Amino acid sequence: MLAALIIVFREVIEAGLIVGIVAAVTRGVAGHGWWISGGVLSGMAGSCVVAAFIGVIASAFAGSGSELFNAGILGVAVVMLAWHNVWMARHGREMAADLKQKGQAVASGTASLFALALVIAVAVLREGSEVVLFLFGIAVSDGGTGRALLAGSLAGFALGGLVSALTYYGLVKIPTRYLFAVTSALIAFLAAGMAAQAIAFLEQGGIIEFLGSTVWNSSAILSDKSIPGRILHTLIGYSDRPSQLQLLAYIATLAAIFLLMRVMAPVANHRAKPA
Amino acid sequence: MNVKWNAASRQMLIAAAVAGLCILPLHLAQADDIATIVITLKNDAFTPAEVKVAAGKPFVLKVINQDATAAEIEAKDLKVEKVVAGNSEIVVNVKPLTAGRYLLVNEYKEETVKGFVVVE
Repeated sequence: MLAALIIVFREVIEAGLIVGIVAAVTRGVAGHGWWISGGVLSGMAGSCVVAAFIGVIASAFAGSGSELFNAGILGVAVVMLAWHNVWMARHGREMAADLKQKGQAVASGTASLFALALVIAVAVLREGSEVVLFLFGIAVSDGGTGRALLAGSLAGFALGGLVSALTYYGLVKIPTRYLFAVTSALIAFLAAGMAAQAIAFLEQGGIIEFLGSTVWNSSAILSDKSIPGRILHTLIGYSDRPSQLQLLAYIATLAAIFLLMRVMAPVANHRAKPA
Repeated sequence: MNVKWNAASRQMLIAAAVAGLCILPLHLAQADDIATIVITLKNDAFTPAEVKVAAGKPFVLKVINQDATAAEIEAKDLKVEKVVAGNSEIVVNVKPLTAGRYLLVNEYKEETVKGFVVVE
């Protein structure tokens, strides 16, 4: 039972963190709960579809189908996160000024809610299909041990939900005037980590075969497969054995996002009227 | 201030563009001289339970799953993590390794389903 708990928790922890962050980022926007639930549910539905067709996906593109698929959906998430941050840099300040008067927290608009719901869906989808396959394996195994494993899995899901809640309540404790800066940075690092992870998939699939030397090996200090390692992996993209290209993708993504945020930010002291 | 920032931002844009271009020339082809190591998963056991590969050379790991349920093949030190469906097979590209004995598991049953890749 404990083994099942750990397996499921390990898989859902990333999605759990992302749901918590998005919930905090979009706090105060009407209907944000619906968008988040929608993201989680469509991600779950997608997980079942991916699990059902995992054999087809894996054998596509000369056996690199899974890697291309994972890299592709991570790419979508990176673009959505970057777009959200840039959009917030453009409109966040005027919205904050508007919302503060009503005693509400900094919030993003409905426009970027879709982008963030998609990020959640993708996060759930990616690890979710592995959970579905694991649970399916339990379901077809014999009853007695199967039931204990199922109980462990449910506890794993519950812990994932707890991670979301802790992340959310931790973030919303941050004073409103710092929240925007904190969440922008969080999202930028989230995106950079995902970009590096996409590169790792392309390397495993043999699609990219350059700048592949390992830059450092810190697996003895903190394995990125351990629970703390996984949390850091999600939040800042920690990898215990990154390749040169992974590091490059990480830095380039961070640079591109912060740069676009600066370029797109409205000129200082020129407050636009809220639409 | 503005001029200075623009120059910096142009440089960073160029850096980002170069990084983007690096990722473009993707190639699916593999060199012919890369060894393929085959491991079969049946009745929750890897056969052979231990495979040998040469140090410092990349190789392709092929896992044939003859069990009905899916397995998640994981070898942390090989940077391998991939799901193989029931009665199906997968291939993964593994980078050159230094000598050692590396663990390979079905992550869904990692306490019991173990194999080793011995690099020498």
